[in-house]
Amino acid sequence: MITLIQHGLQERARRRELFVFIALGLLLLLFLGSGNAALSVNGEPITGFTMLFPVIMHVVNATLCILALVLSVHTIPEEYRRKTSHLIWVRGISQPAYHFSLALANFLAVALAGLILYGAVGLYLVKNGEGARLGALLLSFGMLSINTGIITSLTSVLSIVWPPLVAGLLSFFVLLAGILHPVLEWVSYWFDGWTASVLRAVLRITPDLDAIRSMATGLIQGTAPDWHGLFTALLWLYGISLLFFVLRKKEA
Amino acid sequence: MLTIKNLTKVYDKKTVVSGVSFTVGRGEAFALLGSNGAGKTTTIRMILGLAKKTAGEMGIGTDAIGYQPESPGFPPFLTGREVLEYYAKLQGMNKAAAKEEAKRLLMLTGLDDSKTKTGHYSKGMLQRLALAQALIGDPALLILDEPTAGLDAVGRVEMIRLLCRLKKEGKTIVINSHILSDIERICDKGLLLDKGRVYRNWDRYADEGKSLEQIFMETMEAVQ
Repeated sequence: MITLIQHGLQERARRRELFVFIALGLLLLLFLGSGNAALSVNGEPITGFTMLFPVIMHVVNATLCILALVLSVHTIPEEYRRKTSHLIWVRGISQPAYHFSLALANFLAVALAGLILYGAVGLYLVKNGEGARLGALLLSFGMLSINTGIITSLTSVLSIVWPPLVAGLLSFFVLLAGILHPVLEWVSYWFDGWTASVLRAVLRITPDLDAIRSMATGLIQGTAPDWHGLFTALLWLYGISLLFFVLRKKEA
Repeated sequence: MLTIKNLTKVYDKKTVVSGVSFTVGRGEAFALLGSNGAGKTTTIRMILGLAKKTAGEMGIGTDAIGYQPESPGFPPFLTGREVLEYYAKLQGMNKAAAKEEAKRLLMLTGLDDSKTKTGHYSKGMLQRLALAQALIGDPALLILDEPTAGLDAVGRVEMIRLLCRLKKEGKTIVINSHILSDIERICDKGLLLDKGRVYRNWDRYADEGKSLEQIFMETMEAVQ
């Protein structure tokens, strides 16, 4: 399994998407952190560390989650297309172990990208005289990795049974609903009848990725995590990861 | 080495392999012949455990089976040596043993240990690399899917020579191929399949005087 993960990481490190997303994330962070961004909510300008920092964490979370999706959506189907999967199975490695290793390699590749973006976040903290908060960065990084873990696992398991386009669209829907959880929740109160029911159903069947983002931000800002939210997110991750051992490529 | 009895495979109520039986002795080279959709690849996949058999029995006299799929897409950023080291490690070899094995197989298959990535390999080099990975761990039984397909004249001659050499060294070989002239040079026995059924057994010595092409055409005409 370690050989498979090492090889997967080696392969992912050569993917253009990884570098494009890192560059894009860094550019956005530079733009936001430089103070040149004219952001406002309801006409109120977003300025200063306490207001800008959550926005920065939103950007980091979204960049890493989308990268997790983009890297994972083609990985397993590509192995089957190349027919290299058969060369793995004839060597006594099971389908679940193989799929799980490929997903783990993607997760680690996203984590590497995350470390780089978190490095930039660290520089932003120092620049704003918040160097004392650097210690919480690693914890926050671990927390945010739950989100990338969920998206990597979900996209990977869906790509075992469905074509990349379907798996990608479904994952993107979950990602969007997960990031916009509080917005959807708020909107659901505006409606009655079936629209509200649909929105509440969406909230129930998608993980609250924003809650994790909020906790990861809070850790750096000195807020205690919401243990229930953390436990729920870990349960999501565990539940989706279990699917690696249930879903199999039919007579691949 | 390999005994197959009444092997049957049904996919979604469609029988793709029906009652196929054959035996391959140690050191023999055996051919599975037939047109597209004849059931050759499904038979191979069942032997390898990549597809579940619906019915029948299989007796395989070894755990060490080497498999060469038709044109596998090796990671294009790796060199031939790195590909072999990777599969050797997956087979449980440690780093040093994998390195040694890769070196041995590059020599055996006539691939040079250059820095050329497999993405720049010719079809012939890729086929030789595919065979080399099948030979990792020195398996007693080799299952080869179209080993000479897509090769140019030189590549084909080299591949045939290599397979004949492996046979001489005592390897048991099962080949799935369309190219009858190649089969005639490598194999002693075989089966002609059509729509998943065995239509004729071929034995080089019993069928002496008739080319495999003749036998194949006669059989196909009889089938139609």
